[in-house]
Amino acid sequence: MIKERKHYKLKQIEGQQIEGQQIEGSLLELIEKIFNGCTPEEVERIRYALHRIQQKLKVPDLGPYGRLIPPVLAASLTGCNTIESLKISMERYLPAILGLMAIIHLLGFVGDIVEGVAESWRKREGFQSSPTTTTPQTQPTPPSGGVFDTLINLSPQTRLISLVVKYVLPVLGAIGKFLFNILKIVVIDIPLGMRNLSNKLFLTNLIVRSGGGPVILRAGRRKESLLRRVANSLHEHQALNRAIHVAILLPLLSGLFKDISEVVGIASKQPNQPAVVRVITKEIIEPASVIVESRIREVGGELKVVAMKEEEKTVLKNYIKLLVKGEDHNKFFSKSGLFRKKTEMIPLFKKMNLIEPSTGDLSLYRFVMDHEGREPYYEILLERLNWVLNPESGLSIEKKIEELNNIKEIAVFCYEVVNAMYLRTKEGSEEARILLGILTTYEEIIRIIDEAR
Amino acid sequence: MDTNNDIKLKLETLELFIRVWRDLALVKLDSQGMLKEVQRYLDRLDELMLERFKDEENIVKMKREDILNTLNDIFDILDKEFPDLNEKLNEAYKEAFKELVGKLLENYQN
Repeated sequence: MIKERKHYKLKQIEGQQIEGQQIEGSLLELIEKIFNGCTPEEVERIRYALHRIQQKLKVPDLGPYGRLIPPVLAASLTGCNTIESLKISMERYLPAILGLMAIIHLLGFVGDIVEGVAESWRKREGFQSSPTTTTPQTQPTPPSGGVFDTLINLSPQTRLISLVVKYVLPVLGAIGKFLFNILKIVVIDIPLGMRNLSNKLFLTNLIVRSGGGPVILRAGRRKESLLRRVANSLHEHQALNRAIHVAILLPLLSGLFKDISEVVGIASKQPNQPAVVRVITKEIIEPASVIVESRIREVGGELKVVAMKEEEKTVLKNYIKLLVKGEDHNKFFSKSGLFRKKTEMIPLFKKMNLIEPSTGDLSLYRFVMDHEGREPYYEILLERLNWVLNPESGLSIEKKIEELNNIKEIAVFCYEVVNAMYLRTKEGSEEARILLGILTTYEEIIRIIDEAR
Repeated sequence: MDTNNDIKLKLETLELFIRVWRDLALVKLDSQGMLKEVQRYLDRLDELMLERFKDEENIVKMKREDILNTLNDIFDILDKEFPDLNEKLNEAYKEAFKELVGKLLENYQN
């Protein structure tokens, strides 16, 4: 049993006036009031005002170390755009860090050479100085003595080199070591297939554990959603909410956090509530259509939806009609059923990846491809769907769909989920474009479903 | 209905709002000499995490509840060692927020 912890309430802001309107409650409410009720012109004015405030601010200089800390950790922890952040940190900081490392190594290498040369000079000087001594009492001490003893007997040039070797280079090395200790940069390539709870918790821990320094999570697009789920898992328990402080603190230290909005979103929400950006945008974005396909347990698989041509859409519509009427989908392929009548559909189904190559069965996988049919987005979608679901229900999409009674409910459900997904992808991203492409089928399919009923 | 550009503008403005809020909080924390304490907190968290979880293989083997309980313990320790930190941070953010709203209104109206 998990130990109980007292509830931790964040950033309750009260009593503020915005345009004569009393603002109560959370930051979330305030932001919603600001941004939901404003015209684009008003938003532009707010933006201008913010710029003016920002220009007047004297943000404390965190020094070179603070500026070097990349925001990736915080970004990944809080479900922000990890890839963007990663790009920023890689582009801006990694070359600098690598350059610094190279310089330190080079200095060490040069130091070794100089030390060798200095040593030989020192020996030569010591050797030459012996015969010039007049009395045994003033004879120089052997080089094995203290450094000052040694320096006394060296030429000014050799002394300088010796000092550099003995003091400057070690100091430089120590500074370098100090730098890297502070930065604690860890580059982690998240392995493929890290989807289960253990791995999620591992990542959670990894992220929390690295609170003292940044972790560059090298992840592709598919793994981005994993990171988002990690962020979500941080809300599973109060203790993990504390970990969110790490996410807030790091941007503070970095002074560079770009996409902090979702940090605040997560920090502002109570566990199991949606993040602020999603809530806000849900209000302001035009409801989008959605793919309507889902897993259908009874037929032992999932439905794949592909970027379709018209003829393919027709096939799919017919297929959905069949399902809605409660017909066995296998009739499409059974010799006694629709198979013989609709043999022409098989190539289409194959093209749409609706047939399992290994078994020949109709495979109802959710499957979304890009416009050129190159990239399967199924996994991204599924991960996103799971991620979107988890904050509210704690259920996996599979479990959720199991609870739904018919394809209409599934369709509505998918609408909500994919709408939320769409909202998160932001305009212009390829993913959003693809989603937009497939979203248009939603209303049409809903209509078909209604007709079929 | 907002166009995509309107939405983009709103989101960017929101992001700017929060960034300025963060900067203001940073100013406040710095003026209170809190930044060093924040760093110490993070260092200690790191140390405790490494101490308790040891390595990733160990974590994968651990039960979920055990992980959460371990995290609880860690944060309990941190609570004791840094009793006022969270409160101070929240205060700084809260004050910064109020200040920002005030400044925003002032600038907006001008």
